[in-house]
Amino acid sequence: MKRTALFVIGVALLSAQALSAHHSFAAEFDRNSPVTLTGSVTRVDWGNPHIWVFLDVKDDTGKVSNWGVEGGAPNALFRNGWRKDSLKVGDTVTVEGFKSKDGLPRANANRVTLPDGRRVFAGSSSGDR
Amino acid sequence: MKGFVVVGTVCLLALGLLSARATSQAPGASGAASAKTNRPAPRLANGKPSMAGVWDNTRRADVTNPAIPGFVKELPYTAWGKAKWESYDSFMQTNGDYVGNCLPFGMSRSIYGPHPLQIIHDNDHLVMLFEQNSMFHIVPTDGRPFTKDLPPSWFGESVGRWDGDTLVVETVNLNGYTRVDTIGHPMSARARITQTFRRVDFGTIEHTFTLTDPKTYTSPWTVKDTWTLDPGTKLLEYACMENNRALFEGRIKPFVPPDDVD
Repeated sequence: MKRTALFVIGVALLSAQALSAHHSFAAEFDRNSPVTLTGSVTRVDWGNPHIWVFLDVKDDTGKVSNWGVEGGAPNALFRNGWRKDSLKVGDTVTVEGFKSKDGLPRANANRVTLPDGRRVFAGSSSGDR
Repeated sequence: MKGFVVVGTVCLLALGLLSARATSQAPGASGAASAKTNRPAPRLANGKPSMAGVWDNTRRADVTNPAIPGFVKELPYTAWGKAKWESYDSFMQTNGDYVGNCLPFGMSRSIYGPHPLQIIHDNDHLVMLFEQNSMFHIVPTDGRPFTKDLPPSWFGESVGRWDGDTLVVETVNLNGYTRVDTIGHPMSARARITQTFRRVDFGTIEHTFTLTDPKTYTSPWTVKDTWTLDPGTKLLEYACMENNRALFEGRIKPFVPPDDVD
């Protein structure tokens, strides 16, 4: 199961790169604004068309902002072995993704990594919504 | 682990970015159900082949992508069609993205999207169930004509007929708001979609999608696919608007339909 999930994440990441012309992505997020966020999960919204993970992120000055990051489609994630509680409130994660264009603390998550290196979810905007 | 991801990535490249859907780990998946898929196609009560099943349809975000077999080499644009293609990005900025608004994807984007489809089939109907937005589309095959004066719609209206063991589905009365694929190839309200379904064996359908749209293209063009039966996958609910933050937070604008597609 885990090997399949890892394979699928590899697939999803590559798809996201190959489909850079995905229009929903381009309308919302800026591929020229990559961002890496590390913080504590405050909420997981498991719903269509994409899941959203919220996390408290502390900047260099110690100020905490609550970021929302868009993940994959819940049905696809479920089929790939992930569950609604695969990521829990309080988990520390590192998100690599792209900032939204609207200036809000929002990003499209390309990778979500736990402290031990395991990856969770991902697969966002790799195709139609 | 890392090596496996690399291998997976290489495999994907070799496959030319075919469907990214994993199929084998869904609860209820049955290895036995997928066995012996090369036996003859099942038959309806009327003796015609049944297209019923959950199908691992081809993911095709761009019908011209040469990495995916069955692609279209070159789309024969009219001047109007070329202008529509070249202005898609700016159109979405001003008029919004209809799929980002959770509006219907239409036939081709439902067929070629990343989510599965199921076909229910009897003597008089073929019903397509699309997980994408939990949509359905009913194709009567009992010989009835198109409905007179029916207002146009996202999926249009379809009728089906048999040509030997091939089911031919014609679709008209489209509203012209949908795009052919994710990347945004255009079509108009004058489009006619012709699909053929041929179940070559229990586990395989050969499908074609032909677009005849004289407003957008100077000649018809066809995409060809091979679908594989996917008995381990069960369609799930897809309530598109429940968590559509892109629209709620204003990153995608409310959709304003184009006014020049008739």
